[in-house]
Amino acid sequence: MNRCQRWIPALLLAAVLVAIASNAEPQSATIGVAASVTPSAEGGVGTVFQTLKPGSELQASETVRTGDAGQADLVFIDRTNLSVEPTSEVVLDKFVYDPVGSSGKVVLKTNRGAFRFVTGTQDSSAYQLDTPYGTLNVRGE
Amino acid sequence: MTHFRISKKVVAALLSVGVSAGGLMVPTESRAQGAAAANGATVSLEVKPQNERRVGGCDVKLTIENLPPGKTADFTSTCPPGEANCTPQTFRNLRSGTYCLRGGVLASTSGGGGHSIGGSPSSPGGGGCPPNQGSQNCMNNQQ
Repeated sequence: MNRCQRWIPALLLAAVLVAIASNAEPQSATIGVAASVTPSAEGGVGTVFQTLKPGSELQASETVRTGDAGQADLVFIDRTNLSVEPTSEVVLDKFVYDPVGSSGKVVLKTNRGAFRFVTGTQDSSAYQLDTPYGTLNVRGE
Repeated sequence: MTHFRISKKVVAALLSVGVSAGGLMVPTESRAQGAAAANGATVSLEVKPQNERRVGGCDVKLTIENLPPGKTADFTSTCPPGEANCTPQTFRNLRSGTYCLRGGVLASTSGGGGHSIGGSPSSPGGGGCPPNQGSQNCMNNQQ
């Protein structure tokens, strides 16, 4: 019995940590990850940028930019894929994931460069691509 | 009385699972399947930097593929800051194909049904649709 009692505090601690971790409201929600990265590629908000690595988490409002040889494949929680080619910059401007309803909205703001974008599981009208020259939307007929 | 012995490894594993479950917003499944989610609408985009003075080429080169049935794309042009004689235009009913935006005019360079979609009806080289035309075959509606 004594042996069991010794573990009770540890188990309680584990349970508390699990509860805290699963209920924690992150300061900025993770909306996706970098699936693969060819240096150099970095992501950040404001003036603080960090080198992107495979598995790096992406936040809403984050800017992703690549260098001359850089390339980043990003996968979002709705399975949207975005390939950011060399010498490119994109702001993950807005990301609302609504897996069951129609209120989802994904807005990517491209400043320069080349991109390949594959919509995810949300309705295609949820996606919007902004460029300095105009905005692309998908509509129902 | 039956005693259950729980090893330190089990506790460590519990802690590990708990912490990562809370911090992991992206399901592992999504990472694995994301690369395979290639059946969505696909847009390839090349955007020329606004400060680039290179003459020629497209300001935006756009390739649309795999649009879902019944869906089309719209592109609404933006006037550069300080451009007084510019009117934003919306180019509607874009289908799969490649398009080039130059000087505020979006033109199909391949596919897209082969329609000329640039310019307003009165502009040279326009070939656009009459204003407010409801035809689904018309790909240009001026705002």
